[in-house]
Amino acid sequence: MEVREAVERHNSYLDAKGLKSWLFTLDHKRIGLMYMFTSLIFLLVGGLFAIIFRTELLFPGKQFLSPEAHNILFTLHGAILIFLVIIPIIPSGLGNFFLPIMIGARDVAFPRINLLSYWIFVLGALMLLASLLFGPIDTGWTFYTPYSANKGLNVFIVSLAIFTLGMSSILTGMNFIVTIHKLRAPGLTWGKLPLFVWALYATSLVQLLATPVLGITLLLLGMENILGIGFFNPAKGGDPVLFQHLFWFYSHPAVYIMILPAFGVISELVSVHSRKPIFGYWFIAASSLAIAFIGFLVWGHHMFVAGMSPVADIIFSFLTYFVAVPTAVKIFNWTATLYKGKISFTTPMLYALGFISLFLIGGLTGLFLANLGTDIHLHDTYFVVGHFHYVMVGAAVFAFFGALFHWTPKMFGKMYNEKWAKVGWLLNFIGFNLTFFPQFILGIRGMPRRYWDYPVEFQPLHFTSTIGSYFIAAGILISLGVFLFAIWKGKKAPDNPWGGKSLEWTIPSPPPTENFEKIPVVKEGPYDFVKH
Amino acid sequence: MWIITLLPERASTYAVNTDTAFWITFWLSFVFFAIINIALLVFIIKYRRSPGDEGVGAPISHNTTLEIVWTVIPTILLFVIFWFGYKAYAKVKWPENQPSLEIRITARQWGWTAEYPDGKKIITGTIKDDKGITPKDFQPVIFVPAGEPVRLILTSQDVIHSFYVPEFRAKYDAIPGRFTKIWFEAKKPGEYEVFCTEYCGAWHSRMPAKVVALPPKLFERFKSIPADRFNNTLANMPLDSVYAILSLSDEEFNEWSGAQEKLLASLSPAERGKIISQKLCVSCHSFDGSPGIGPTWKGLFGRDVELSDGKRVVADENYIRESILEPKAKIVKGYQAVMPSFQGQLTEEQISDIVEFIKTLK
Repeated sequence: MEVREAVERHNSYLDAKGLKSWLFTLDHKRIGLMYMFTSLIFLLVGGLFAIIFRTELLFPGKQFLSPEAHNILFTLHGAILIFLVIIPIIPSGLGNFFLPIMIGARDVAFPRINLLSYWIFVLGALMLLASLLFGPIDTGWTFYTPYSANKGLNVFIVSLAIFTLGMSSILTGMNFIVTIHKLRAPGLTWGKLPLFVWALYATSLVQLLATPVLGITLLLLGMENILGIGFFNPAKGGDPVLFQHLFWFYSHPAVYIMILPAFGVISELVSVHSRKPIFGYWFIAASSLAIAFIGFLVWGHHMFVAGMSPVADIIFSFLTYFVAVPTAVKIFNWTATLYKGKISFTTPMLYALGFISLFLIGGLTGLFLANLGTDIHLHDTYFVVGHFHYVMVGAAVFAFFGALFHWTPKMFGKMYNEKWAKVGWLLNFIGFNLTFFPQFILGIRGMPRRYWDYPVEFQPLHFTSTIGSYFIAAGILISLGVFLFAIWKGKKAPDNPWGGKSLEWTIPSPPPTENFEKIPVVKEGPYDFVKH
Repeated sequence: MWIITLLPERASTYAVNTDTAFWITFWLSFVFFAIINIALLVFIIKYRRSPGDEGVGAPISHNTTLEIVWTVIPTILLFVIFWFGYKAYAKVKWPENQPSLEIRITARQWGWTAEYPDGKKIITGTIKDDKGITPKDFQPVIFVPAGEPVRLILTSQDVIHSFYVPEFRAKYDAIPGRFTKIWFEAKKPGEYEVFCTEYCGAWHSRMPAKVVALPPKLFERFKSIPADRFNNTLANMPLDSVYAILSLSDEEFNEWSGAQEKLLASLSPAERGKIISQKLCVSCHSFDGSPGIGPTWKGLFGRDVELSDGKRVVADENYIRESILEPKAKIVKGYQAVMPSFQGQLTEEQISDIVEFIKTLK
């Protein structure tokens, strides 16, 4: 409150005009927005690919795509949405914007590295696009060898692209860890950190520790393709299963890179929009770290039918169940937070409630895949596709949209249209379930994934799934339209429309370039709601 | 009906264990799902903020007893789920009675080859058309005795594939350069669909096959047929005819065998070559001039072929023989060196049959 009064006629980080003022900015807020808008563009591209191949799958037999084209589309859909959208959009986008503000700092610890990390990200994205010139890859985003091992230049360029994107991810993670350790405002103890910051901290640890392994793996794959060294191709004395170990050693923790920031967002939304302290602060904070740690020990559950020893199968299955415990704890705590709250049905709250419900399904269906017996039946079927879309779209993307509307008033000082944002939410919620719930049944019935064609008995479920994907497309377009319209012509937003307590709500909207004229001294926790 | 059972028919002896693990996980999950969603619904209705209410929620921030309770109870239930999963897995992994029949399955882009210890061999091909997969596209790849355990030794000659029989709840990857194995026991005679479940390229969805579980009597008959006669006759026949032949009386069966031998002797080499080529070659080499992964065979014989190193060679008998046995020796310009060698898979006679067949494709 003191801070607000101190700033008389506040400047804004949006004041500077001109392209150069954006491209070479060292302001974490502008860098965050550039990340976010870059990712949003790729969200549309990756989503469009899905709409195209889902349309092919409306009916059995060939509609309009050759099997080769279908395989390229699902590969690009996965690679773009994972590496260019879901991994960066919350931490590097919104996290970059709000992490320094939420800890009472003027910027991240290394603003230049922050900008470097963005441009490395753009470079990686351009390399991924450039690979299309050498023949689009059709290896799946998992690049399993030896299928991907003798493809040549295009796989080499894609592996370099992902390696580059990984560099950016490592730099951001390192930057955030140092920022959280070193730049907290006086009085902002670890116990007063907003849970979004705790979640970003856990995410950054995983980014820093796991991403180098992906980099190494993809370099090996690239060298195999260009120099013909037989790391993974049995025809050259390599081991294809070794690739799966190395790949999942990163890519399983990467699931937590995608979902932990979303957990952080939900903790904020549920608390602020019910004006009630988050229930079990320390359990939620600790569970983020627990998930980050245990997440490193479970990669083998992707390989129960891939030729590991039974001992390894059993240990990996056992350990996987331990990830479920801290995850369940979070869900219980979010639900308990609503008890005796003052719940308002704002768009961010609807996304948070949608998240809890959908993530619950995503998490619980994971139990079937961690299960040694049922995984043999369900592995590599549509059940897996349904499961990870419930986690990555139903949870991570829903959390992103919740966070986007929650913070739009802060980021731009403008309010969005609540009615149309809710229409977008409804389309997303209905469309999401319509698309992905039938996929569980398809998988249980035995429908394998990554199929260009399917036996006729699966047609009704595939048809429903495709219709649902059109609803999601409409929902996402409307939601982004509402967001852009708010920036363009939205009503002026108050500094603290939701009555939030964390530091970002104590400064003007849009924030001044320096965030805080005077570094605040923090006395209250981020969720200490009191009667005015 | 399947809406209630959800899972496919339980056609193997261990399917029931897998399904038990499935339903225990399902009902425990369902209870959690219901508890959370009912709580959410009750809370958002009961504690919704009325317009104009600027108050704040109750200052309840934690309850350690509750936290411990909802940490410990799920942990115990997860152990239960793990245990049932382990039990099902143990059944799939370690058969109680060692299977006496072992069949080797070799996967390739895109089809399966099954080989029996006595040399019987069945090859399935790629279904390349624009229509959806119909039941008749599932080509028999292995015949097994119902009521007896069978072990499959899996491998692949190119990329990773996965052998999946939903109704058996059986699946395992076929990995190049190593052998993996699964076993199953079909509870009763029937036909069970096989899918590839590891993404393996363009026609991944088009290598459907089926396991045919035969009644013991028919399987005895199947076993008694000499491998080379089987490979030249039943291995290439539609399943209906196979059933019909296996069900013949002893007398009729002997008559049929004799007739087959005569018929086979009357086939021209090119006709024999066509039968083999339709199984093995057509997924990459078209017979009608349409483009494919490899060069078309139409008009191939005697043509002047340009190689990737710029040399030219005439496609004669020796060139074709070399291309089958050592495909990487000469690569046609514009194509990738992706063809596997058929060394040891085809006899010299079969190779010359294929050459004769190619000669007929003008």
